[in-house]
Amino acid sequence: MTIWTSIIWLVCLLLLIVLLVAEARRTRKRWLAARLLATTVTLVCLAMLISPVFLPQKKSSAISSLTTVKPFVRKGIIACNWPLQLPAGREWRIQGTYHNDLQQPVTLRISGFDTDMDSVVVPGGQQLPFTLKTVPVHQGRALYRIVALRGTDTLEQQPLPVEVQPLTPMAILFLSSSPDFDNRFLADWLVQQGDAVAMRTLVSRDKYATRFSGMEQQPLEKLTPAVLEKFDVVIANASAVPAEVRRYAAEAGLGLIIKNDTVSAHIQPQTLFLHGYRLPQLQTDPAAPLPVAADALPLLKDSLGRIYSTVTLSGQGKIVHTKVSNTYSWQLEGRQEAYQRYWSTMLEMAAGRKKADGFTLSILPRIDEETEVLLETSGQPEVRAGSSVLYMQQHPFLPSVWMGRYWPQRAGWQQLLASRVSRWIYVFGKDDWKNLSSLPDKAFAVPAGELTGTANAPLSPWWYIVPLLLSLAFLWWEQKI
Amino acid sequence: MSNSNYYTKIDGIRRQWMRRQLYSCLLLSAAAAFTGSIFGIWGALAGFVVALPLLLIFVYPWKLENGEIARYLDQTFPELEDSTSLLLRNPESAPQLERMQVQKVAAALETVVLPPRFYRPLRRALLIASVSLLAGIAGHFLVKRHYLPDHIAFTSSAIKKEKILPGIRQVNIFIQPPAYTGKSRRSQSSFNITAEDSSRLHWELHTNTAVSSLSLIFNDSTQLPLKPEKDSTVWTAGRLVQKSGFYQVMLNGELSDLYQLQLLPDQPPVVHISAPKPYTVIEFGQSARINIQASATDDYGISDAFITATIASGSGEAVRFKEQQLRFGSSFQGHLPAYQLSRQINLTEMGMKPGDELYFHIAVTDTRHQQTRSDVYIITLPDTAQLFSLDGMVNGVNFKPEYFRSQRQIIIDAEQLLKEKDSLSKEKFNTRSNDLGTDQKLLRLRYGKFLGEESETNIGDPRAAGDHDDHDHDHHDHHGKEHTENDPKDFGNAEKILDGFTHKHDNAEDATFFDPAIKQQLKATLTEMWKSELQLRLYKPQEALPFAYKALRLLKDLQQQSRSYVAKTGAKTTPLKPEKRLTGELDKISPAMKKEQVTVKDETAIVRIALSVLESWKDNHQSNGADTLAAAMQVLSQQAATAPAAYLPALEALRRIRQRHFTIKDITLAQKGLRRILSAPSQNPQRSADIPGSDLQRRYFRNLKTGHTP
Repeated sequence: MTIWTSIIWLVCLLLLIVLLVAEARRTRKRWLAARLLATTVTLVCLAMLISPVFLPQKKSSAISSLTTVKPFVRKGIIACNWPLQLPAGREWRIQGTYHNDLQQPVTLRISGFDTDMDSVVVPGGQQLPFTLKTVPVHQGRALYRIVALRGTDTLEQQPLPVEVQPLTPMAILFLSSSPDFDNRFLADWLVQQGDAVAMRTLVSRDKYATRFSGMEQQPLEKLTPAVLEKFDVVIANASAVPAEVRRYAAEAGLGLIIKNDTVSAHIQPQTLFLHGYRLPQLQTDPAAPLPVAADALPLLKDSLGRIYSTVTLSGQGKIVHTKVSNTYSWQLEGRQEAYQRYWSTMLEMAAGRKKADGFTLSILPRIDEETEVLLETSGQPEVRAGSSVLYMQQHPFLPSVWMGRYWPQRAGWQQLLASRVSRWIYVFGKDDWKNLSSLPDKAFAVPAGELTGTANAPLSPWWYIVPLLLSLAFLWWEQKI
Repeated sequence: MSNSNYYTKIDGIRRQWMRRQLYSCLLLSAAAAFTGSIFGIWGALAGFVVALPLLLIFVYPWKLENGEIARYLDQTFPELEDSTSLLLRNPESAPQLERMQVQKVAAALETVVLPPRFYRPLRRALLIASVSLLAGIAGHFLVKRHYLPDHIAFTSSAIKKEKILPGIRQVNIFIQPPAYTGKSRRSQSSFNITAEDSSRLHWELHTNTAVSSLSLIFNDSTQLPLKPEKDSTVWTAGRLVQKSGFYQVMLNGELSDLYQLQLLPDQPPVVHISAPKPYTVIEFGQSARINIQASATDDYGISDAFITATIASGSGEAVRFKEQQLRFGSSFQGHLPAYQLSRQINLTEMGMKPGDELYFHIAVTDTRHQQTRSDVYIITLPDTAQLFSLDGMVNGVNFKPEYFRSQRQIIIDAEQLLKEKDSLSKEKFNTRSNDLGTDQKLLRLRYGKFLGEESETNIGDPRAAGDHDDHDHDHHDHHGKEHTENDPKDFGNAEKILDGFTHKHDNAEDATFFDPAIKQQLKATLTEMWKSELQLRLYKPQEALPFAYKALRLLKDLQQQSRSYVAKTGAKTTPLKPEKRLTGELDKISPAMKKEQVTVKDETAIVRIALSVLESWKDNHQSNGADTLAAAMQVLSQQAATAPAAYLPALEALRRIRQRHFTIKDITLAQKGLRRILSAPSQNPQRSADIPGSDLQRRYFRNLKTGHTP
């Protein structure tokens, strides 16, 4: 009962007492009992007219072949997707759609380890897409939850399994035609994170200062394919990249980050946006030239849309061109987060993908339901899931792709094991994620027979308008005679 | 029965009054209900049900006689002539006189209109009810906002009951706070201890039966054995605790839960100086007394406070320092936690001369001998002798020297006047002081010109000699004087004629001479001159001196500012020979090579893994990760040692998990504690994993290059 309805009832109660006393005091005592009754009925009906009354009603609907079938309206979380695996330190985004068919706003919240991470409010009577994000702190498998709350009532609660994978260190080669602050800071940061770094800096004619951190010493004077093979990304300024490095990068899928050589004359503070993420201000020259190919994808822009970094495909590899060469000032300012985000994005954009065998599964494997398993591997695989063996079938056209079917018998985390690869999957229970619109409707088909349930339905207004009119009419007539 | 009419009228008034009383009772109890509705519908009902009978009993509205109404009418309406009660009597039995009076009064009663005072209780009740209705609505929203379930959960976990070993009947812990706190010995009967830093703790454990050994194990793995009394059921031990942490009780080899041992550190004292300002300049002539006011606070008590003052005298290399300690007047015997300190320093008594500086700070010591020093405050007595030196005038840019001389002259004259004060008559003294004021004014006007202020061009003109004192109202007299002293040479001089008729205000050209900073300083100088003039005109040359000195100092600064100096430079570089560049012999040069192996050690990594291990233990995968949990527990116990209140429950839960006596709740508790240690991991570059099936792309690329089909 809200405060408003209680106020209405209280006021009516007061009015009733006053009116009853007035009726009782009247000198003519005829029809006293009837008058009192009529007054009471009037006020009760009046109060009900102002604040309608809801009554629980038993609803039943018989399904027969004759009744028209109404479309099933999904409510709650009707779409949701999230990465099942992600590397440590990465932002985890849960995106979906919520259909709120209630009048009140609903709060969607994700929580893990008894801690709330993020929340969003969906206003009443709307269907809205939502995005929730957090950085998982654990490493390994864990089950987060997404909860829909109305006030303190839980409307819906669904599991969000996620596996945070440990980082594999990268190997990065710096080539520079002059000593560079930015390289020095970046190399130091990467070494602190456990990555391997080699650096070749031209200090005089054919003389290179070198640095090897976290890796064996290499002969860097001649950049042969055997040396380059050991690196994931090469960071260099334009004049320091020999042609053979470019050629190798295009053939073997090595990432290249090329910095501008020109010294900017007209630098000014600019706020930069990296994929929409706002970076702190940096002294840059917007007019500095940047080789922009037709197929280049802009990475870094300012608020006027001027481009500062691009990524281009070059054969198997990728080339990132950038004209920003003083990111170390972010580190000096203590803007570690921006620095980390910038360089993580740049290096990831440049680096090629890891080659790996792997499983692919249909989304939302469910207990006692068929799940399709796809495995990419060479040779005849033997796949086991727990104690049961999965028999794989080779793809007719792609010899390295194997397909199989799996009926999980247990909910929760399970491991798929092949000869060289394993994968943890989460099998959802029968009641998880029932409202998703991507699921076939058969899961919601109404069982034959009768559907019964209770629902709050408003009482028909005639139930109080008619007695109100009758009692008022009586009171009026009683005065007249 | 003519009286019955009046009777019903009086009775009607009575009923009306009663009704109003009843309504106001109802409204007041409704007010109580509205206020109660803050606590929900039941609060509202309770408020109404309690308030209504109370009010009815208190007011008792139906206990009102007609006689009282008659008295009320008599008191309110003088025209009823105190005879209303006659109307209530039986008219037959009344004497003639009474009957005549009744008739007279009855006429008056017809015209009576009840005064607004009659309705006042009802109106007041209505007001109270509406106010409380508003308060109820406001209160409802406020309560709704603060009544969050999180708070309840927090408090309920905070006052969790501690578990003790079954063999222990009773525990008494005596806490002897250290002497510096000034607190007395206290005791408690629970194991979780919150005590002052360096308290001496004394445990007294009572066991149900005689036991063979009983000891306490602390988080730094030291053990404190308890000593038994004669029947081995009462065990005691004591220890001086200097570090926060936790401990366990070991009874016959059986370990209890972990209990927290939280120490409250003693904060160093805080001192705040409210007067003087951090940098104070005492102008010559101002009082050389400084009042130092400060407040000192500490969490337990202050044992001492003093001022350390250093006088720096001399200039250049010949600076001498003299340090001395000054005590405050108040005694610190009481060791109170807060003191208001004040002390007056006489700078001349301390031997300070013009040109000296005083540096002082206040040092406050608390009862634990922790000392805090305030910032250093500086008091300067400027050297006035330097202002009189002509160094700046003789060489360098000459910045209107006669003006400086004038200000200096005024000071010299004023000092001379003060010296001769005793030998002069009062009139003479006053006249000379006034003359000095005039000089000061002329000087001010001259400077005012630079700011574009209104100027007087006829200073020194004999025609205007008498009237420059009353500058504001003399301009219109010029006309008359123009005629009397008509010079034939000026005939046809339009400017001269115009001068007589125009009133020259701001001259735009003058106003642009200086940059704003200099103008601002000039303005400040003029203000000082104004003040100096005021004092001189009031025949108080002594009071004028500080302002005059300040004006002089500001002018001196102005003079220094307007100088500029450009040093001569001469540098010749040898011309470059481009053909020789990069042709040196480099064979024997081997450039630097840096090699390093860095082992990255992240203590929290194991905690991150432990979180997911615990997650898998929820699903009864209890075989794996036991050593991970052991390592995580070590990290957690380090955290618990520094902040036992926050991490002890989690450590306790993790211990139960490792012993395999746990519930899901323990896992949640342990995860929550571990989660608290962690912050979001840093974002590192990572090669993204390839999607399976991408071998196709590679093949496509290869064939695209070679140009043949597979």
